Amino acid sequence: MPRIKGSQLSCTLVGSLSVLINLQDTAVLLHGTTGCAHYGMKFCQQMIIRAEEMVPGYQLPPVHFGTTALSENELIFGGEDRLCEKITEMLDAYPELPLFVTPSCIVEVIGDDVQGVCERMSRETGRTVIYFNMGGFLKGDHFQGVNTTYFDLIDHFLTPPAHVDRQAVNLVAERGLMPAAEIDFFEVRRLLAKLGLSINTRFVRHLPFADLGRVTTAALNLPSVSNQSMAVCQRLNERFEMPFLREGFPSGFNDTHHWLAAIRESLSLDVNIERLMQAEWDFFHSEIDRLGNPFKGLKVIINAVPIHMGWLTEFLEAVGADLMQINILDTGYFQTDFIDDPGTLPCPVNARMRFEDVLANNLDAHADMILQCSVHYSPMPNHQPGLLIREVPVVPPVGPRGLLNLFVNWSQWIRSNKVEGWRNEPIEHLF
Amino acid sequence: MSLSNTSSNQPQNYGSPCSLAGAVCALAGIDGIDILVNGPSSCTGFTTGLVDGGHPIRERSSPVFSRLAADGHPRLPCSEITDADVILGTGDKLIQAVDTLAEKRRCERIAIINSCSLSLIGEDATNILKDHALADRILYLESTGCSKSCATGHNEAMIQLIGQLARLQAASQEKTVNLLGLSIGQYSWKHDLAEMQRLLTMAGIRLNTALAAGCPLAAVHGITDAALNVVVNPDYGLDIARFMESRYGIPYIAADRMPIGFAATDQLMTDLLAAFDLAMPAALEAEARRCRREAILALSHSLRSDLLRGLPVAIFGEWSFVAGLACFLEQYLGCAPVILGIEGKQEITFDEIADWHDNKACPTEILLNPDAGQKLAAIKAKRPVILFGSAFEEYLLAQAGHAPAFYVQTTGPGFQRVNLVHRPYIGFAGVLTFVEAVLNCRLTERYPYTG
Repeated sequence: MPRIKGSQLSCTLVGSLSVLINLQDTAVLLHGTTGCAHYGMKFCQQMIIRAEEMVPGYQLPPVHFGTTALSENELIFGGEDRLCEKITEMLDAYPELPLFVTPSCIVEVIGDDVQGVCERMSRETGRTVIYFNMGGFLKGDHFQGVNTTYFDLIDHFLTPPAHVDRQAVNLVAERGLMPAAEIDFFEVRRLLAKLGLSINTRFVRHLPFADLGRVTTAALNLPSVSNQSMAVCQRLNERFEMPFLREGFPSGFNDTHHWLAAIRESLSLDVNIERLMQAEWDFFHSEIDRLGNPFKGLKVIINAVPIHMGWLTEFLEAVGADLMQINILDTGYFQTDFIDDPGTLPCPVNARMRFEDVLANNLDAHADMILQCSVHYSPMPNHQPGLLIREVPVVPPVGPRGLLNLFVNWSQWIRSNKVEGWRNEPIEHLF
Repeated sequence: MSLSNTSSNQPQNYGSPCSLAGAVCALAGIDGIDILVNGPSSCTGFTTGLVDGGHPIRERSSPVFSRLAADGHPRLPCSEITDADVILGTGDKLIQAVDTLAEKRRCERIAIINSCSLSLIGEDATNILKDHALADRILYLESTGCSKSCATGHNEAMIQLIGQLARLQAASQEKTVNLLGLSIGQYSWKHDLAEMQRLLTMAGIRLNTALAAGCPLAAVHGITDAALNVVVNPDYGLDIARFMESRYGIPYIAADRMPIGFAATDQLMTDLLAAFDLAMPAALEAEARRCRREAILALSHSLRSDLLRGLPVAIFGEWSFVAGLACFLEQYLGCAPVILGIEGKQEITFDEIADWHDNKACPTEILLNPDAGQKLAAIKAKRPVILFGSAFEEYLLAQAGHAPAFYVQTTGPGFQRVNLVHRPYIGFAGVLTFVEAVLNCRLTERYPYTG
């Protein structure tokens, strides 16, 4: 079976929806079948509801969403009439809002001129009807959908600024489907405040449509994820010469140090980053001393993918754990040659391992704790008695406080000193 | 009563998954079939969540499963079609996918189904794999279409499968039935199955096959052994029952809705016993009495009188469920179903709904395949205290912002709850499920202190 080249998460359609649903005061029309609308909105609303649970007081954004729900007949004879009908219906239902139209793969196959219809309807009604160049899986994966949507928003709605606020930065392309995005935002805001910077806009998370014009007035763009959000920052740079950082939101102390230093350099700020980071480090250690550190001396194995290695090894070192081995899983869709110099890590690194080999390694090592990535990649379904297994967060926690949150969370779990009995059940006998 | 419609009688909303999901759930409910979706990974990924949530399998715990998961196929393999394949043809990838699947799994049977975009370009999996070494083990299912409902996908897949696999009836076994209408994509399928098994045992009737509800592949071969088909959810079973009657001469019994509540369950069991010329067994009567007693005691011991009379409720879901629950809540508990949101059903007409509902006294807004805006407007206008539905409606209820308002999850997608203990919707025990849910909402209600 061929391996997935991009994300296994979803197609461009959901990528696009994950952006548009976060932009406030807009209506979205999916030109396609109801099934695609179901899955797209399921993803988006699921994540929004989880975000609400994580952040007290978080307000659910209203859903202004519709679908053309194409029938077999329309798929044979073309769905443009149905699209016109539904656009009219949605413009009537949301008289104050701009309408964004995003087609699915089936529309790409039948060849509807969605862009033409949107432009005509926009002319005839005098309303904003914008076509987004999607096409389900035919136009790529989730992240291509995200980026294309951002590009279209930049091209359609952003204008050169009249002035630039030297003390304000934008947060660009925060992960739309990540419930922890709000928690990360609080940490980024706290760190920026220490540099004397404010947040101009979050492009586009929770951004009112009317404020899109303000995006270009920031002094610097900060991408949330270095590899994915960078393309959006580059587009903003090409169009409006907006400078941007080359790194995503930082994880761990070293990352945070570099990130803050890069911002200081970009904006020529007069801030002592070393002193700032020393204060963060001191606070971290005073907190773990105050709370009691159950990690000290624990023998730990990491089975994970490359994005976790930097911050995770740093965290374990900071809390005094004994890192025994790192096994980098060959999942097929993560780059595994990330470590330039494995010798700098405090333990053996086994790259590109098969699941079966990781399992054997783990069983031989007699560790106290295994930290591993999501259960989907898990090589250790059942553990030895007394062995602690914990899932590493899919997205690395942001900043020093992110590590501290993780410390508090994992400490409670280590102290509970409980072993889940179900893990020791002889599964073969249950079926 | 007011009715609200969208411009055509198609599923306009996004409350229910697509027909591919219906077909895949139906096939995944039969142990011994490996499913291969000929389509992009995104369609398969969406459907996997539904299948995995509804019917987890033991392979989740095995390294082999992890291996497949690492290839991006956590449960449902697919041929990983991309834009280039749509232009150049999917043949090579399909063959490669079959080979890999055969290498990783036992593969007694492989069912191949096209995603909607592939079926639209006319990809012919039968022709591509006609010379393959595993050709005799492969079942080809025609696409269930692009715009049909989840229930239709289920029905069409099962009709094709039965047509290909079921042996011709030799002699039906006495007092033996099949259960039709269950799908692992339904939120309560396991509990409904257990309840029907319980009632059938009390009635002295043997269950031959519960189609697509965790049955083995051999049960599909022998599905024609039953003397009668019992349809417990017309949306998911009536078409199959009609097909089996015409093809194999097996009669069926079916109500116009799910047997939710005492009256509907009584009727189903009476029809079932009458079909076999049996009298009502004492055990079944005793069970009906026991459940009635429990329900009445719980209702009469509730804190206030008239706790439920006229209580505005909203119900969203597929027709068989909505109609069944609405009848029960209205007729037995005295609630007022102020919104009925019916999703997915394409055959039902407004006239039929109006006929069905004209007997009822309360002013009900009936929404046929409503979109989110219509649902929200209805929720704001009718202010239901309890909403039965999916997490989509939960979101809208929270957005409407009125209090008191409670949400009871009865259909998927469900974001925050699992349902493990015996809580069927149908049968006598199903009554207790809903009495419990309604009373718990009502008793935990808090009113603001007014001084």
